[in-house]
Amino acid sequence: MIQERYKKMMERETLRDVAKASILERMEQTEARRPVRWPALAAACLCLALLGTAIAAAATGGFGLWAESRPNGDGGNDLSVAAKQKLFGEDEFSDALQKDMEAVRESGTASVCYPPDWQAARDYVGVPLLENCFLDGRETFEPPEGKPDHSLHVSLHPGLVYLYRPYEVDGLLLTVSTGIFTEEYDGDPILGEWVPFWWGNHAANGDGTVTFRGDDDGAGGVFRLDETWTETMPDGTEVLYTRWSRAGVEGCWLGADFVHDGIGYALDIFEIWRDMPGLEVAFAPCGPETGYEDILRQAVEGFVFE
Amino acid sequence: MEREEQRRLFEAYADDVFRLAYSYLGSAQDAEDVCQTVFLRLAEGRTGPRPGKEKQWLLTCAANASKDLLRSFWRRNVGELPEDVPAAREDGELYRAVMSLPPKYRAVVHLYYYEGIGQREIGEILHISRTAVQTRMSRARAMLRKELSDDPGEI
Repeated sequence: MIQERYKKMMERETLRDVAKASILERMEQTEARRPVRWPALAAACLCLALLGTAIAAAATGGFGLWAESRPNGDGGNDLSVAAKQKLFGEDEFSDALQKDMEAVRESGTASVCYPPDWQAARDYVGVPLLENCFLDGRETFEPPEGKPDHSLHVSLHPGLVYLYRPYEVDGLLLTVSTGIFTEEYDGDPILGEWVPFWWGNHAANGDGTVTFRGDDDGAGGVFRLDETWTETMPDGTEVLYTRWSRAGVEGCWLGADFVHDGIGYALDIFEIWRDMPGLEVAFAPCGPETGYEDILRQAVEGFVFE
Repeated sequence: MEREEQRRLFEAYADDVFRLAYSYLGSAQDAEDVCQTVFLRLAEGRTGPRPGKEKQWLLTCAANASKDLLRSFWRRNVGELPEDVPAAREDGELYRAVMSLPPKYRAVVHLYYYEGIGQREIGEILHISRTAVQTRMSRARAMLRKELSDDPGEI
């Protein structure tokens, strides 16, 4: 049997005596450190009610949430969340990124690259992206056979550097995306240093729901933004949580957005999207017992805020 | 945790930690590095195993440290490291077949075939779902069938 052959083969592989002695010696010399204790989180809740098309701008700390009055083509108003993000100068990025951005500028088309891991992505970008001790060591979400692998990628657009990384946590797809705006950004700096955190696809319907208009491939639908609240991390970073639901679908889409050092981070668990037509990703079935809110919060707290 | 207990865990599980790291990395030298990382972490005592879960904790640390090391390899564009390739190794065919699998599949194969661990616990060690364990195991078996001249029925 293959199992017996494998066991026999691996039993011959052992740690060398000299390595054992060396590790034991170093263990003896290692001083015990005090266990890490996470400071208790000071949670401040602020509910921002969606009042339909006449939403006034509501701003809290690093975020603003409002419906713009510009027409969106559907007769409604776009819903935007904007955040105080930094506009980075080009010389703050790595040489490699600057070179690639130059090519993007010349061609007018976005460029996408696939670093092997978050650290490589941090090196490529050059500006200080946060590390995450909870997500370190997690695997990329494994799609079912025949489905595309949505791996970590960095895409460059004039004015925007965007990173996307899917993780699998307890069978759930958890995505982390990061938007870094540059001084070239000429979209909608809505109010001075406020730049969009979400943009494009959300329209307030006037009845407490928001339509996610979706992509060209047909993914989309009507979602209800049920709840938003903020929590403050020990270093003062404010995290905006959003909970969405979808009619007739159990579960939720839960998001956590924050800005740190001028860079926007968005974490999402898309439980309700698993049956969404047109989406070519896999979503593990899970029920309310999965505790996706706890998982999202753990992922947020895993960032090394300093 | 007392030094004596740490030493006992080292004596009991150092080889298991080494083998899991070796199955990930395909390099004895790197597996030794992982072993050292894992047991120094234990000695530091910042985090530690729950009673009765010592081996699982050590294997989880070994898997994490191996993945970290793999990432650093990739960063240096070294790629896969089949350094101990087995000209004189017994069962070289099996070794080559296993080492030709992607590292994350090798880890599942090792924990299942060598450690005899169930899918649920493998998922806990590797931070993946039970479905992902099943998927990886199934794909690994399919790849091994292709590589090995054995009767596919025995895989």
